[in-house]
Parts: sequence; C-alpha cells; structure tokens
Amino acid sequence: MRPSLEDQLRDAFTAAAEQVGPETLRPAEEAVRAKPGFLTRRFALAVPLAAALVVVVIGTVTAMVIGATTPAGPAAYSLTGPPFLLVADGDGVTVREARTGKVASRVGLPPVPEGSFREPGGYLLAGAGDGETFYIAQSVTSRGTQVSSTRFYRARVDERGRPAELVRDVIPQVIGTTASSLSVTGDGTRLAYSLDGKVCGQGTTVRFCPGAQLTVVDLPTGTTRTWTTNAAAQIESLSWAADRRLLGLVVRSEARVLDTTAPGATLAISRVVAPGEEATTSAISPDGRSMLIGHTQLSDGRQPHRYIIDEYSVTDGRKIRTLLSRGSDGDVMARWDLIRYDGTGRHLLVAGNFDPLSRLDDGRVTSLIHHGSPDPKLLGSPPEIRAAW
Amino acid sequence: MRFAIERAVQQSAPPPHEGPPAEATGEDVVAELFLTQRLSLVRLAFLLVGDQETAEDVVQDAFAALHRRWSRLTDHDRVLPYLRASVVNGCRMVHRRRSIMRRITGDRQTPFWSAEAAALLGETRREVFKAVRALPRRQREAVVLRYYLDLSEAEIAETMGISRGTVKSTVFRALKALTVKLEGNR
Repeated sequence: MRPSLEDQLRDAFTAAAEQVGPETLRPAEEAVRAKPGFLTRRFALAVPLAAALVVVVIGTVTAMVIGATTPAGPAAYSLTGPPFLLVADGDGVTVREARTGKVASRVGLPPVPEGSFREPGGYLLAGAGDGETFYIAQSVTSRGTQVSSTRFYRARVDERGRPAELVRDVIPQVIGTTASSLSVTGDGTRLAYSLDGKVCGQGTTVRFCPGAQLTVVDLPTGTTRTWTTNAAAQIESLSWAADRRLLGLVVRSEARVLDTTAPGATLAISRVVAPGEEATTSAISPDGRSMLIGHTQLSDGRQPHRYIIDEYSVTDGRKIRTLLSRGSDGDVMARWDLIRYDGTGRHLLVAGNFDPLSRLDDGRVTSLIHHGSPDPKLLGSPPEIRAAW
Repeated sequence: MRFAIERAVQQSAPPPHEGPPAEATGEDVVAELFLTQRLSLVRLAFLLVGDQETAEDVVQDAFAALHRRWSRLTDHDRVLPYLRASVVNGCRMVHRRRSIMRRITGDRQTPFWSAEAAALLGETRREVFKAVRALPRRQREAVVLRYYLDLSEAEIAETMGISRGTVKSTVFRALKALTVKLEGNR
C-alpha cells in the first residue's frame, strides 16, 4: 500500500533535513561570513564605487564598535562539562583532560595477573558523569581453567587530574565469566555490571551455559540484585538514568530499558526502545526520557553504508532526531561502539571503530583521541578505546 | 552576540527544551535559543533554499536581527515564531537574489540539491521533492511548515504573515497539485 501524500512529504522532508547534521554546522563563534553570496561574478563588477566606499566605512565603524564590546582573549570555543576522562587503550588506564584528550595522569593499577583478557587490558570503565569519580573493572581469564576473575576499583581524581584515591575491591571479586559492561549512577551509589554467560554446576562439574547475567550492587549496603537472560549474547552498553532506577542496555542488538525496581529476575521484564533497529551501542539520557542508539544502515548498493546515532523517546519509541551520521565504504563494517552522557546530559562522549574518541557539545564535535594503527597481521578494526566521564 | 553564546555554554543552564527563566536577560534568551533552536531552523532554511551554507547564513542573520531588535520586541514570549518568520523571509530574499543573479548573468538555474545530497535522498523522495520544488513559493513554504515542522494553521499563518484561511486554501491547493504531479509520474 502506498503511503499517503502527507506521510510521503513528512518522510521526504525529514530525510532531507537530517542531511544537516549537528556536527556539520559551522562553529557558533564563526559569526563572520567569508563573502555575501550575491556579490559575485558580473554583478559584483556593477556595484558602484560609492556603494563600496559606504560599505568600507560602515564596516570599519562596525568593526571598531564590535572590537570595543567583545571581550579580549582567544576566540576558542568554551568547552564546559566534566574536567577529566578516564581512558583505557593500548597505553593502560589514563586520566585525560576532557577538553583536549591530553594525558593528565596515569592510574597506577596493580600488575595484570597472568591470563588472557579482552583488549584493551581487560578493562571496563564507568564514571559518575562529573569527571572526578570513576569505576574500573578488570576481567582476566585463566588460560588453564578458562575461569575469569573480575576485580572492581574506584578511582577519584583531584582538580588537577591526579589520582586522589584508588580503592581496590570496592565490591567482592567476581569469579566465573568475563565482565562485558559497567555503569555507575551519577551519585555513585549503584553499580551495574554484566557478565558473559552463566556458570552452571558446582565444584568439578562447573561448566558454562549460554546466556548472560546483569547485577546491580547497592554500594552503601552491599546488597545485590541479579537478572539473567538465556540469549546467547553479551549484555552491553549499560547506562543509568539519574533516577537510579532506569538502566539502559543492549542485548542481542536490541536497545532496552530495564526498570530495576520492577519485580522479575530475567531481562524479559525489560522493554525494547526502538524495535527493529540493530543497536551496536546505546546510552539512556540522565532524565530517562530518551535514548541514543548507535546503529548501522546497510548500503542498498547505490549509497555507502551509514553508521548513525539516533535519539529515540523511551516512552513511545518514537525517533526524535539523528545526532550523528557517517558514511562508510570500507571493507570492515563501521559502527559506533561508545556513547556516554555526562551527568547533565549536555555533553557526550562518542567513539566508533573508525571514529576517534570525540566529545559532542551543542552539535560541535571535538576529536580527542585517535585509534592506534591496526595490527597489520590482523584484519579488522583499529584497537578499541574505552572511556568514561 | 558571541559573548552571549559563550556565556550560555559556560553556565550549567536548564535543559535545552525548557523555556528561558523569567528573569533572563535578552542576551541570555537569544543565546539559549541559539543553542536549542539553531539546528531546526537551519534545517528549515535548508529545505527552502537547498544548500546548507546559505541556510546557516539565513539563520545567523535571523538571530543577529533578533539580538539587534530585542529591546523593540513587544512580546518576548513569542520569540520563536518571530525567528521562524525571519528565517522564512530570509529564504525569500535568497530566492530573489538568485533570480536577479540569473537575470543579470544569464546563468542557468543551479541544481537545488548537490549531487551527493540528491543521491542520499533516494529516488522516491527525490521525486516528492521535485514536485514540491515546482510549487509556487507560497505553497512550497506552507507545505514545509506544515509537514516538516508540523505547525498548526495558526502558527503557519503567523510565520508567513497571512491569514489562517489563506493557509488552509494554500495547503489544499499545494496537496492537490502534488497529487496530480506525483500520480502523473507513476
């Protein structure tokens, strides 16, 4: 059935308008246009000299007036938001300046125990969104038993980005499978982590079953609550709303929202936010009303693949807008794999497998850290960067 | 203007979609609107003029005019409709300039969309857009305001500076023309 004309118009207008992405707008401080569009070619030659002189005089006077009222100093765009990031990459775990990505300090974590781990270093990071309080989980798998152990650390940084505190085992070490995601509430009281698969049996009969597990720990009391899923997939992209109740997650490529106060012990009680969209990553906004979902739009043969971050309403699953959209024509499928709100919801950290770790402020994208070069022996994406603020 | 924008960025301001506080100054309000409404206004202008650079110029001029005339505005709660009207007027000016340039230089009309933009739209949407482009200026503006911004007839009337009855008849005629055009193409 053909859609109504009104729907066709809405669809065409929306698709066309979204070609103007927030990241493509010129920076807000560039207030002066290079050239007025109509003063070109032969018309420009026809402009009377007197008019040109008037323009010069007016321009000079205006410049003098503006010069007198504009504050002195560099015209750099003022990036606000959290002061520091925690970053895990091939160089270990470092504190970075959130404006520039420069290393402020290095987090002195204990030596990595013998075993295998997911790059980078088996680390998962979470931040309270203030750029000062961070949680780190590190999963290492024994090569002999294939059992993983995950330790949890809390790090705080001072106003200069130097480690002010590093607490080991803020919750008991978890033995079993590898941790795949980590998130902490803005007030730092609830920690959520997910584990791959489930451990079945006991003692010598221990074995791994399909499915994954999500645990929320109330840090002041130490109480925990766990949800499981039989999906043969990881639970990824954990993100808290500020109410400490709603938790965003991605499982089986579905972006979901879980009410952690609702009864139930499986992820069946969670709700899919944007049905039909294959999510690679997501983040729920601090106000819990919307969710950013990274997904990839496959090429139809005429256009390149596109990897996109769309914002959806959590309430009704309606698409609100497209935040970022990139084309990709490489051999390896491009995707977004990190989206993190800060505590206010006004600043974002994003990274893709081919996009540098960047921050997004009012539509302005600032690249912070570029991926290292991929290992030439390994086909695929460049090394992953994990980050939190 | 730049000072105001930077100041707004540095503040831990209220959420973007909430209205400005009652005691906010003109600069604060304009800066807040610039942060929250600029993208949607640029997109509106883009749909009307066809290229992003010009659309951004039009919106920038609209904000500059708002800032300049702030003290003379009688109803500060109606700033967004004023901005929309200013953007639509700016787009009309662009079309007039282009028309003058074509007459003076004898150039052929430049394509509305870049080749890349047209390719990204896909064939069906391109067809719809071509039909919209062929509408008279007033009808084109009315359908964009109605079906892109989802404005009511009253809001469209305010933005375009015409009566509600004229909006109704304009949109009706536009839809009729589009139906004939699109059905004829199939």
